[in-house]
Amino acid sequence: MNDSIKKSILSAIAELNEDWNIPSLENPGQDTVLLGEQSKIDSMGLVMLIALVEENIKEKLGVDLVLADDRAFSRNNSPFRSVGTLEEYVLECLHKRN
Amino acid sequence: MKKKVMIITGSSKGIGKSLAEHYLKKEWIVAGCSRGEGSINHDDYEHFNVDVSDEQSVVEMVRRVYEKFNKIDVLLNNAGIATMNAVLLSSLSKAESIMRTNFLGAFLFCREVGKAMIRKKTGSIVNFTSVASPLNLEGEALYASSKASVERLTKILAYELGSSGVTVNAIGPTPIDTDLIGSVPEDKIHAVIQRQAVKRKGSFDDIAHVCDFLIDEKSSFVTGQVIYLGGVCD
Ligand SMILES: NC(=O)c1ccc[n+]([C@@H]2O[C@H](COP(=O)([O-])OP(=O)(O)OC[C@H]3O[C@@H](n4cnc5c(N)ncnc54)[C@H](OP(=O)(O)O)[C@@H]3O)[C@@H](O)[C@H]2O)c1
Repeated sequence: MNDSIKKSILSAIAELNEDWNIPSLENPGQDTVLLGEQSKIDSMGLVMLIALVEENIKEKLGVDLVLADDRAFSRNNSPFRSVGTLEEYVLECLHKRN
Repeated sequence: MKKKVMIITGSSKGIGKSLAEHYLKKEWIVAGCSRGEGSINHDDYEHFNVDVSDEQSVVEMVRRVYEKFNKIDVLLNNAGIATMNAVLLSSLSKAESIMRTNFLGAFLFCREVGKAMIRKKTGSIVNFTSVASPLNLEGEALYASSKASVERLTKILAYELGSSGVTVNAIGPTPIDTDLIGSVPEDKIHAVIQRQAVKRKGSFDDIAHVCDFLIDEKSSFVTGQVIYLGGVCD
């Protein structure tokens, strides 16, 4: 499952970066920043990224997840700040569903 | 040419059904929903038993349609319920159910379909309000408040999606003969019509015409607007 989550996130970033051309997103890894001062992704970009990750998760794991909910936005540290934190958060959402 | 794909909520009867038939005639693919059974038989129509206020069902319906056709061109957020009662005699459960269907239902569909549309950088969302909101009709506070919320959602979402090629507008019908107003006394309907610039009931064609305009590709510069019928102004 962890592998499918990682692939879902990385392929979402790759697809979106075809439009964005952000150098730091060309070879994303665990520590790649998605949200925050150092990020070049605007709010619409983040929405698109989330939509695409949801779609990829549905395709790979057959689960209809909604990632942007209260749990995500009520935290001090946003789960969308890096690839690694997003991966952990998707896993957490999947566990909560079971 | 590839057929266009539309979601219409509340398509089992009334305005939603007439719009579904209108667009099927124009060779659109239509996915509709209601809590009860569907009532349209057509190769390009699929019905979903979905309560618009049920988040998981909405998510599943929208993703199924998107997966099947790889796009959603238009969303008509039509499903709605009404109630008539003085504020001081209205129950909390009625207030909750009106807000859940009319406002939260529209919100959930906007959110889920909006995500599909911004990926394609194109799409039109048309929400349904009512002249009950600008006319501040006595006895319709709950209904009119839910529709006022839909109008605000429409305008703010239009800004949020403005740069992504997606338009968001709303239509505000006047009284039209459907089950929704079946139990409203004739004198009340007459009183509303007297406050319109054009003093007659609306028709399904009146609504289809405004919808045609709002979802036309040439209307890409028209967003965040609420169009009331019958000459009612805010
Ligand atoms: N008719 C008028 O005079 C008038 C005037 C102004 C505005 N409007 C607006 O126009 C829209 C359509 O109204 P209408 O007159 O066509 O009403 P209608 O004839 O009563 O039809 C309403 C449709 O919505 C569906 N629906 C209701 N609650 C739902 C829910 N929770 N989830 C899914 N579907 C639901 C109904 O099916 P189920 O019951 O099986 O779910 C039905 O298909 C509404 O938004 C209404 O506020 C109507």
